[in-house]
Amino acid sequence: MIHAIRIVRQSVILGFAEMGRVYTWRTWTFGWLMRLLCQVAYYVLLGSYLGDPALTRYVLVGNSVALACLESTIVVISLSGERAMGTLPLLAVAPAGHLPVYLGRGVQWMTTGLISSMVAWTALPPLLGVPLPWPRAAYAIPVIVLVLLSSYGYGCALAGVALRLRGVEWLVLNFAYGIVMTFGGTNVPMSFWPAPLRAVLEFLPLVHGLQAVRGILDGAPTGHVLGQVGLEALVGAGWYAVAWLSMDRLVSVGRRTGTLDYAG
Amino acid sequence: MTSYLRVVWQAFLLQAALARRGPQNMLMLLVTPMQTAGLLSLTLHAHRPDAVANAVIAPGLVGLWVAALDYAGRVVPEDQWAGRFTPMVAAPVPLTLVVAGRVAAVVLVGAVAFAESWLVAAAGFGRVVTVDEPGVFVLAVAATCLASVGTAMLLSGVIALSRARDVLQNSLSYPFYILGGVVFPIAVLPLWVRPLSRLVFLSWSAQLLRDAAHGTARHWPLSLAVILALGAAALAGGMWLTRRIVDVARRKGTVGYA
Repeated sequence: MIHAIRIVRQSVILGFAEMGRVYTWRTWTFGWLMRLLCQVAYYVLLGSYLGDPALTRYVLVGNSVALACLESTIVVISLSGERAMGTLPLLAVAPAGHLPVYLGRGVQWMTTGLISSMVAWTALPPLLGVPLPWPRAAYAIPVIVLVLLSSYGYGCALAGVALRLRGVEWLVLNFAYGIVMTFGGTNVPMSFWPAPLRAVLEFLPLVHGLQAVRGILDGAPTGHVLGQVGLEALVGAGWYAVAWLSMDRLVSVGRRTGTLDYAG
Repeated sequence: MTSYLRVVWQAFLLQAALARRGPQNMLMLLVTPMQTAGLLSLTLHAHRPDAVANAVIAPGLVGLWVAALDYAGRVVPEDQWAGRFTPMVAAPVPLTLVVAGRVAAVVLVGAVAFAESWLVAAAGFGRVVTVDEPGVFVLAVAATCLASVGTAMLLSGVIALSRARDVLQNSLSYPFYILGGVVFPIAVLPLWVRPLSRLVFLSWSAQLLRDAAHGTARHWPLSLAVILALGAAALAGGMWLTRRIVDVARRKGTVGYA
């Protein structure tokens, strides 16, 4: 347990040091965070142009929570960066084992994801004239944290693809969160999509967490909310299992064939 | 004049050759169908058939902006990293023409997003968007592409000079989609924002394209003139910046620095 905490701590330090190469707190706040808030506002303004206040609130809630998923999946870039720099083998020989180290490689994105989704959750509704019902909106915050966690597992699993193919990390990242944001119930209810597609979408992160959040805001029965929370946790656990197997195989094959330090 | 055009054409071919090597250059083509599906689903769910054209045109404009910001913005910095900048500066042709040719190639690929978006709407949603004033629409697309080349030139210079390149490239997307009213009319925006919108060519392009699709383009010559004027102003700014980058690098002896 102490080992795990140390690894997480070191990962966070490394992650933020890496972020510091690109962002200062000012450029992060007035550049990246502002961009994310504008992303939510863009869809909210479209919602208000197209429909009634109910649709506008639906879009606001969906896109604010989706920020948690978006930022968590950026782990794809962090992990594939290790491959490009040739530092993947160094992480693989870490005394704690390669899996916890690999899985901890993008923890900073969960931290920033939490901040940006919380800013969107609290600041945008009054700014855009679409108030959320408090204190119910506060009860939804733990579910947003769960979405962060499950989306991170999803990002780690898809990073397995980016680690195996050269130069596709941005494609994988954009596909990963693009699919979730387009079809995961952020702008329209899941019932909008055809049944066969819906069956596949059940396995994406965010989908059930978002339904739980909407349930909390609408005062849905506790059983329904807990059921959706449980499904979101299950989906997240599934993606962590996929990530685990994928990276384990990457390292074992890489060790056998001596290709772990190939830059793609 | 012919030799200048030849330089632009060769730069165009160079960019095409470089782009073929990197799968990441497919990014925009991957994102456009998802953008279209997202916007169109919201439009159809809201039972607003009158806004279907908005949802189909917007990803095209976003494609052009992404091309200008992401790809064109990387032209000079990537040349510096790859060590191509030094021979380009030493070559007996102005670097501005080379950058202009490469940026034009990138923008042309961005324009493919219009066709892709239309296809997704037709094949995926059964919504075939028709254009009531095709002549005006084609002129509007052409003017928008030209303005995108100018804007891409400006962004390329700004990003090359900036110490926060990644921040700029990551941040200048959605704020401009809002300012440019790419999917909704700028009347949706607060009053104080609207004058700023008018300085972004996207706002004129988006409105003209939507009006041409609906057959309501009344003052289209004025809109076309403004799109081209804004593009020309950005092009002039971009050429000035590119010249400045070269001059400063020569004076300081940093041409070979990545």
